[in-house]
Amino acid sequence: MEQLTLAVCVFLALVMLALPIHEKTVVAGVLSSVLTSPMTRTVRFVTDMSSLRADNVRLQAQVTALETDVAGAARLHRERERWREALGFLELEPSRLVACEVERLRVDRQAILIKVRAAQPVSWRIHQPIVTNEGLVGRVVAGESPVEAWIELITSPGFAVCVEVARTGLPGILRPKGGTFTLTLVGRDEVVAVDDILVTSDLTTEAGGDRSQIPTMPRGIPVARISEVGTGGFTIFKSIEAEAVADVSDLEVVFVVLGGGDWFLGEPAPSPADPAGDDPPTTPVATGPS
Amino acid sequence: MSRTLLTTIRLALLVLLGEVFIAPMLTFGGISPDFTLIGLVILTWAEGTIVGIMGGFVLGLVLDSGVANLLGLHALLKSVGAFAVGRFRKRMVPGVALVEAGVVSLLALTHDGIRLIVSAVMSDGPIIQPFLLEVLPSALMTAVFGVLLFRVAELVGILKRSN
Repeated sequence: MEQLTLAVCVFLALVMLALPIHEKTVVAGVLSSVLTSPMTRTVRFVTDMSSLRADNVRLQAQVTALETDVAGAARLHRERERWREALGFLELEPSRLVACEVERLRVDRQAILIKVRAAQPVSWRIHQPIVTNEGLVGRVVAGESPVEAWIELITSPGFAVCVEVARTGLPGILRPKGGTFTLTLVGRDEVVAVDDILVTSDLTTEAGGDRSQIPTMPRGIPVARISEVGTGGFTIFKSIEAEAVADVSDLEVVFVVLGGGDWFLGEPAPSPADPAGDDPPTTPVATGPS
Repeated sequence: MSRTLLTTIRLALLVLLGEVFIAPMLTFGGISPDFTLIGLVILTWAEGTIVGIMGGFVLGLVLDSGVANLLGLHALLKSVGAFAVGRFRKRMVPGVALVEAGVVSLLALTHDGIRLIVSAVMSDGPIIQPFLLEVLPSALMTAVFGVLLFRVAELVGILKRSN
């Protein structure tokens, strides 16, 4: 019986050995799927589980460390607030910027819109300003998701924003007109000069109703530079043209301004040729949120 | 028959554990003990030559499935090896470590040596150097671990000294 069993096994083994290589491959594939695969899958499952457990342990340690950090940061924040309160600092809503990537451009007769994706979730509000390092480029018109929103560009036909002349604080409403802008509602006797910078004002472009519900912008974000000032013959307003300070033709990354508060308008440093600094400042510089 | 099946399953698990988890830890310079041969010897001595031959054939097929060009060689060598071990078992003194080590090392040496020769002939590779640097040390290592595993098999009741 032993010899018979051996003979059968040896015969089968020799048959397999004598097979052509491509048939050997087929038979090996079948044998592998029947005999080896279950074992391989079991072994892989066990090793994956052990690897997963190790990862879990490592991640739990990291989470614990991060929770400790968060608790420490919260403690420091509370302490800072206590000190601020004790020292009599005003409670200001701090502004901050969140970077957004421009994803799409939509142009139609009513509006020029871009769709942006923020680097982190944002609580979108109507008319939140969108800026680049040069100045205002648009404002939020609709949030699609916590990280996506549609932005109306300042060159959009229906766009209007309350601005003020940075040098004098003179208010007006800036609207796009062709490739440039026009500043309206500036009286013919007001003092406005070419190269004056127009910055956002916290006045609204709407009248009536509950003013606290009407969206406004933070003051002081540069929008445009006056390029031409004219006085019509019998009009009560000046005819003022301006050019945007920010280039909106090639936007890739923009920033949404969160929170309120005025933006600082710093005076430019006097040039070496003018040590006394007698000349009036010509270009206010936005140095950041207050 | 159920006892044979139980023994085979227990041995298969032992061999699987040894081959997959322990052998990689015991590898020195590419040399590791061959737990499949140890398992084959234990199976043959515990359940008889016929079960050993069939177990060796199936075990060989499992190993062959990963080496298509030598398909059948493992099955052939392990079947013949189990037959030889079964025959030898009737003439040896049970439980003597030196004899067990000799049987396992001889089996490993013959098994791996023939495999080496066949594979070298087919691929026109060297024989002497791999035999001295791989087959011989591996056979010795297999013998050492074989003796240890025989004691484990006795402890768990797979192998009986009276067999």
